[in-house]
Amino acid sequence: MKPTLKELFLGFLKIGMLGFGGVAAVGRHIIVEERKWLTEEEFATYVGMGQILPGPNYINVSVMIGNKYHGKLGAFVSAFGIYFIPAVIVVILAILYNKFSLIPEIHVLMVGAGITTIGMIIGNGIKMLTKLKYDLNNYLVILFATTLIVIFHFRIAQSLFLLIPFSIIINKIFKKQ
Amino acid sequence: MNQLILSLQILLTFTKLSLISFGGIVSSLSELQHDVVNKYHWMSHSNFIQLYALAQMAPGPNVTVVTLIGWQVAGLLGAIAATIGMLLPASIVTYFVSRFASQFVGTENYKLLERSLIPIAIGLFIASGLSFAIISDRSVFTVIVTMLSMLLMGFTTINPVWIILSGAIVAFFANFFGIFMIS
Repeated sequence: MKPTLKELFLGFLKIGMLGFGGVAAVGRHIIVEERKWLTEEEFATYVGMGQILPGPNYINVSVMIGNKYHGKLGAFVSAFGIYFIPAVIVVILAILYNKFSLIPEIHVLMVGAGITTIGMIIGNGIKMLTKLKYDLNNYLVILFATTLIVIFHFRIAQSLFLLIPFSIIINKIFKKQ
Repeated sequence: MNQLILSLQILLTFTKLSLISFGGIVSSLSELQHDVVNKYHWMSHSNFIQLYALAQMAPGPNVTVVTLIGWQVAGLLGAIAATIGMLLPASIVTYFVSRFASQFVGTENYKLLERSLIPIAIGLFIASGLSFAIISDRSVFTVIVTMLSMLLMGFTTINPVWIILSGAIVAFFANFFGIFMIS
């Protein structure tokens, strides 16, 4: 169903506002089931492209959907819609943080939240890995990436110069069907 | 004037991040940390991690952490610079690439690219988390909290917001009873 610009904006605004702990689940629900902007298959393709293009996945997805229906303006309206309310909320959180973070009790809570988030970053990687088909190539690439960054302190761009050719070559040679 | 220079530095930093972060901001968090903490000295490592946690508690895509960092460093102008720097370059690339999507999506080369890039993003996620853990976790308690949250996130479907809040509360009580000291 072709949405109007206003519908695009409001739909993405809703995804941004309801996406507590990430927008992936609520995004799929609204885009595929509620608004029927994309079929399940199209959505999977868009998310896949969002992942392999540089930049934040869901902003990329919103740009692609917006562009599909209303060109440049649609892309802008969609990305703005998904980002606007969350951005205002983080600024409010920042103001509160600056006001209260030196209170010892609040400070402990924030440090605790921080060390928890670190584990979640690793856990998120593990979760994505468990969703992929078992493939030795993936483990080799992941091991190579972590070695470069964690042990040899490579910067991201430097590591990409090695990782992208490495991954393409081993995936080309050892092709799993 | 100072705010203007800061905002330009923020714009440049996030423009770079926008173009090198595959699979989302998390894959280049270690780069962001390097720039914000070690290169420009805008904040301490602990501060940086706390801001990232704060952004995770807000709704929306996790990339909003860039707006938060921009705000902390240079106020409203900084927040705008960070947001534009992070979102615009990648969006322009996506806009142009997606116009030709029908010509390459589904081809063998596209599948090869997809198969090759996704594990790189995963590897960089894990690497970011591990390098932060090495810097931050200086006690048995913090190592245990990090490992537990890793397991909860990796192997359950609990909403991340609950995991963060539980971690904060556990740290609070551990500190209250003297198990967890903050240096």
